[in-house]
Amino acid sequence: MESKPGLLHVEDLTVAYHTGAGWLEAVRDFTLTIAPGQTYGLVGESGSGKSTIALTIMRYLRNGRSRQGAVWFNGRNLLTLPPHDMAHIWGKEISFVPQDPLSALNPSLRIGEQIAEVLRQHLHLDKKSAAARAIALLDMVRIPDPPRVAASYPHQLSGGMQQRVMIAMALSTEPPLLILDEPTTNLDVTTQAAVLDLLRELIAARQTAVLYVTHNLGVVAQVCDRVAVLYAGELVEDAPTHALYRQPLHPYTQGLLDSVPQLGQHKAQIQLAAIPGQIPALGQRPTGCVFAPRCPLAVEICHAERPFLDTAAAENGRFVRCHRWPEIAAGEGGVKKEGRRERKREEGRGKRRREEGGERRDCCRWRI
Amino acid sequence: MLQVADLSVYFATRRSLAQMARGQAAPPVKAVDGINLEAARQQTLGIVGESGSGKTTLARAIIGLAERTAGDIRLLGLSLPPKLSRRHKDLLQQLQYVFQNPEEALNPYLTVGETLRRPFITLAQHTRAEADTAVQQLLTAVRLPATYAQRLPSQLSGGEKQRVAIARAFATHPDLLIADEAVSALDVSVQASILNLLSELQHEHHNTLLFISHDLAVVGYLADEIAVVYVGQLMEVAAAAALFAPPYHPYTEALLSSIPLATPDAAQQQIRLQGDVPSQINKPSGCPFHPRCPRYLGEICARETPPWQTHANGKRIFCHIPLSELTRQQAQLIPLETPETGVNTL
Amino acid sequence: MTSNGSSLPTQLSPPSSRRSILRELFARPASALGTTIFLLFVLLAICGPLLAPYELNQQIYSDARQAPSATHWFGTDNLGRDVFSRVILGARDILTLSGLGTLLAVLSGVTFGLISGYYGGLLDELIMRFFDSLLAMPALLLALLLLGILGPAVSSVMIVIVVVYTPIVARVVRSVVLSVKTKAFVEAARIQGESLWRILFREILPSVLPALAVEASLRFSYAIFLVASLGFLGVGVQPPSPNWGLMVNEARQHVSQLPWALYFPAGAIAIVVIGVNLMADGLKRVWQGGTVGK
Repeated sequence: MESKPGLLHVEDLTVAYHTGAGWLEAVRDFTLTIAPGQTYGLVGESGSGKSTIALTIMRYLRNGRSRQGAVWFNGRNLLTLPPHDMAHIWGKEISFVPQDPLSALNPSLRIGEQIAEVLRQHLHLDKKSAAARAIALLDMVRIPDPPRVAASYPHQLSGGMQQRVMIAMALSTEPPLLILDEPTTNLDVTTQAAVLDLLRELIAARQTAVLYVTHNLGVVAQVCDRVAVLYAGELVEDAPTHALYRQPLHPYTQGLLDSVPQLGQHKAQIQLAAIPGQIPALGQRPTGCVFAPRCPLAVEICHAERPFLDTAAAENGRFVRCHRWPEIAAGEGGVKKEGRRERKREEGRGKRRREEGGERRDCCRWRI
Repeated sequence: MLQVADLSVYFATRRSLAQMARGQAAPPVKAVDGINLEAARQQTLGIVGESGSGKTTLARAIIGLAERTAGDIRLLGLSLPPKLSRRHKDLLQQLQYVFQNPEEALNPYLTVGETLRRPFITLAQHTRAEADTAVQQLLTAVRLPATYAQRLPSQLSGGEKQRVAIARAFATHPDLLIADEAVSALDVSVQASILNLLSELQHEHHNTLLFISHDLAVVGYLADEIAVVYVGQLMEVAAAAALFAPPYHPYTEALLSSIPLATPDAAQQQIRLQGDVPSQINKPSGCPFHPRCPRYLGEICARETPPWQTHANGKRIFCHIPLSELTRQQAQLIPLETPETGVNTL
Repeated sequence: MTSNGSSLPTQLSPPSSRRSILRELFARPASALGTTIFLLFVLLAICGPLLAPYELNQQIYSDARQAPSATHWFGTDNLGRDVFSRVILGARDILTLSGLGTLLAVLSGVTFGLISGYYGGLLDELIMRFFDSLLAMPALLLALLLLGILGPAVSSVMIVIVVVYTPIVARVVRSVVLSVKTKAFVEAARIQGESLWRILFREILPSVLPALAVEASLRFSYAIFLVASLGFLGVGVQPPSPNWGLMVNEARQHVSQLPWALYFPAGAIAIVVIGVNLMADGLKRVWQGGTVGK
């Protein structure tokens, strides 16, 4: 078997779903490498294909199929692995924490029993030591009064506690790779903060590699070393976290960062730069760059030709799929800032015009 | 414009067998517990809180979908009947609501045109033809093509559905619009356009906006004044700019420090709350936040209801700790923003 | 817009899918078979008199007690009546009676279900407990009881169907109403000052229709069975009506000599009930599986 870089190497992955209209590609030519101990954020909005990728890696995909590419994990291609071998990887070498813990926990088994079962299956512990270990694990995820929680049923715990149990279970076999699919999206912000603290700490102590799937750029900034940004099934930007937030090279990443208010910003000072339009539906992806129809910087070539994933900075591994990234990168104050400011100014102007009843189509002056 | 005075909304629970045996009444769920609020004309009042804070129940009590147990709600000085069925059409016209989930806000079996036509016919007594013209204008006003009138909700994206829902709310020129988590079900790239739309329409219609969200950054962006709620009670009321500077209510402080900032280097102070939000049936005595409060003073917090303290900048805080003391202990959590260097959250 | 009756059909489902319901029914062999059977019997009911070779009660004494042959496809009965003609002509009788009965049961079930589900509280409790007590009795027993009071007549059979099936339909409707009435679009209609009438019939009812159509077609198949059973027991439709159940009853006495007079009407009952059942099953799949993907 040829040697592949990293712990997990997703290579040229294309995944398609079968629908009434035939096979539609949800993910196209996706490549990603996670080194041991690295935390990787996979960011995208709904319909970006981020969950599809996570599920494909786990071989959990239903009514979808990987049409091309490979998922190398420790030198083995998970996509061609027989189900029997996959069973040894699930839970033991790759653990998965879903968005909704209640869907993953058995409602009729006590928490302690569920954790112990994982331990007995993968670590071959006997019943007694598995139960003791389960309580130790609950303690590890800082659940107060672990024996009591071990004896309760999933529905008796709050969402935050359930998610801690999932994390305890996922880490119980000390897997080298942990896949988290929006683990804190359903939680309140104060609970989320506590769970993120915990995750950060546990991951750092174990040197567990993490694929963190989320739509939340704030969470990624707090947890991950590297970020991959997905749009409409394509990897548009892949960069170390610091570099990405300091200077996003893809207009979509910029748009994402610009379209949410920053804490403490007020509408009186700033108009949010919304990305016009919406993610194209499966099967309606444009021929050129997938983001071109919504991109403020799109020029002719963007609509005509699909950009390839270009290496923007070799030394820290920055990749971007954009025809105009060199201009964006070069124009620190040029294309990038210009683009941002221009949009804001333009929208501000539009607003003023409307107020004055100016030349803009009389779009908002309706009186009944 | 809007005055909410000592508003309480309790929901009855079923009695347990033990309670029946002892002849006790079932304790109510205190979803909203004595809230006082005011919003001026054209103002945006933001209400921020976590799940179980009663923010949605508060909104539903104002609109009339939840019946209040005690207190008074006044719109333009007139007391609103608690029951929706007792409210006159003129009143219904003045009060409108945008629901959280655009998927459920529109009847899947009615076209956009049929949905939007209704308020004109029921509330504004338009004829069918007048209503249809008004629908066209309304769609344009929310930046949707007029041809969308023929579409069914299933043919629209989430953002477009929310635009239609907003259009329906603005059809009758309401004086007060309540938006309950109006953007939280939407993708981030769509959220911005809806927020912009809400504030632009507000600017044109001069309506008061009650904007409810769990997202402090979004509320902070849109609101002029912000109320922080926790288990059915107000913790802090402040002007948007003042909210982000100390002194904070300890709960607001914890909220602010919990928000994951989209700046990897931000040195964020980490204040973490222990335990879970208490149940609304067995609320803690004294200050409802005291069991989880990182700045717990002592017995007084558990025993006595805290006073409302007013700071020089107009911010009001519901806490036993003197404001000067809070200011001394607390750090500036949010770097005071300039438009270019603000802190990103998503 | 104002009268709910006329606007119902257009509200069945989003416009594009109305034609495709038939297409989807024919996409699966089982529901295609069921629908074909159902449509065939409907055709028989409509054109029966044109197709039947003999009159309904035409007695041909010379041909009495004949086995199936080229002149009498299904043979003749004790009195010399052509079984084939009677089975064909019986289709109209049984389908109208059970169809009309089901329709009335659906209308009353919808009314009670909507009111009970929407209002909730004591009214709901009263209506549903009463229906529960009706449901606690086996349908046939309840039917016999009612017919004992009302006396055997076509109208009594109709009333029986309504009483027996209203609770079941009301239950189905109520359960959908309960899940729909808290949806935001219903609350939106309330805060827009819509009338109760409109909320029930324009906002809520369309969401009920898919489940209702499935339930109605199921009820229809059971109604056919019930009408036949009552005919067989001799308490429903009276002779010389060509009710299949009645025919089975009449043929019962001569079953050893004239088995065909029993088999053909009995077979007709079985086939039409199975057919409608398969169609109901198909409808259920169309709505459960079909709309999710959209």
